[in-house]
Amino acid sequence: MKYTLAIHGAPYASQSAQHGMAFAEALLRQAHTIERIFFFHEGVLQALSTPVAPQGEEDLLQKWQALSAQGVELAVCIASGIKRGVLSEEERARYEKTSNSLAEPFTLVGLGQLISAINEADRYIEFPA
Amino acid sequence: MSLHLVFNSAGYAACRQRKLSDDPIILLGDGVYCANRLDEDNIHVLEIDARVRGVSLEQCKASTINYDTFVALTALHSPIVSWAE
Amino acid sequence: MKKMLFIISQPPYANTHNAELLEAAMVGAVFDGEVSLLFRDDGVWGLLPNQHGELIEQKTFSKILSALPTYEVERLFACAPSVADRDLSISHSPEIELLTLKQQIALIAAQDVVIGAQR
Repeated sequence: MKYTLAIHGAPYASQSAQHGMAFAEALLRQAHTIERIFFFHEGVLQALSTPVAPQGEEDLLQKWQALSAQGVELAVCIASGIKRGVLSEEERARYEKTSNSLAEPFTLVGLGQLISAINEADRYIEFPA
Repeated sequence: MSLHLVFNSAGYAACRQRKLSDDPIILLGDGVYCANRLDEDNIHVLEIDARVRGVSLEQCKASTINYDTFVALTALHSPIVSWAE
Repeated sequence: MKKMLFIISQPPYANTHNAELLEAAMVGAVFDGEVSLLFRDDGVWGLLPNQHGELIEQKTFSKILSALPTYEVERLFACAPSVADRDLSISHSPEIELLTLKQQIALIAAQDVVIGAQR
């Protein structure tokens, strides 16, 4: 079955990321497919390239990157993202900011990518803040 | 049939008013604190979230599940509604 | 096309989640989804008239809301008990239909996806 997942919570502010990631890994174990993981509201902060994980605690960014390495698309709402400081190099240049902040391999996308992923998928599941 | 994901007690209050009585519920995150207060059938508790919080499920009527069962339940139901207030 | 229900359960202005959700609802309708919107619990405060987002340099939620029918988001609902509990009148919004809890159960059960869990 094909799933689209949405992450609404910021790192450390909720279990949104942990729930979404563990669920995604279980999906892949059972040979389901993930159409897209969409980061919305404060969930866009998951895509920041700059956090330093406290020693001995989980490194969320590294875990997202590991999930992506299994072929999962990590898509960040561009409207929610840029106003919260999540900037790709392209957006950095457009708004003339000094540094970009979007981690590889996240991409900034429009809300249309949420709706089309919902349309493509058999299931849509939200992990709220 | 819908599946309801309940993330906290206020979410449970909003959910129970708006679900069919047969619809299953999964308690996860802070929703697991509701586990021992509920008398309904068809309630599942994400075991790892209860263990993390020190919530004992020994006296609990609900079934305990892991992520694999969580996935299996989502494959059987639609829509999947998240409740967090 | 998918039947999508967006649920607004929190008031506007303390954060921008509601405005972000409405944008998603409009895009859903642009993509030919069958989009409905339900206000419940403290979300019904977003139906008050005379809002002035410009006072804090935010978009005015009620104005975005009134643009929804232009985007073919035409099924707007509010939870009748939530409205009554708050002594709110929504007579200024004739396009919004009040639903009992029983009607909301049927509405949710009829959807392909439900969007908008927030706290």
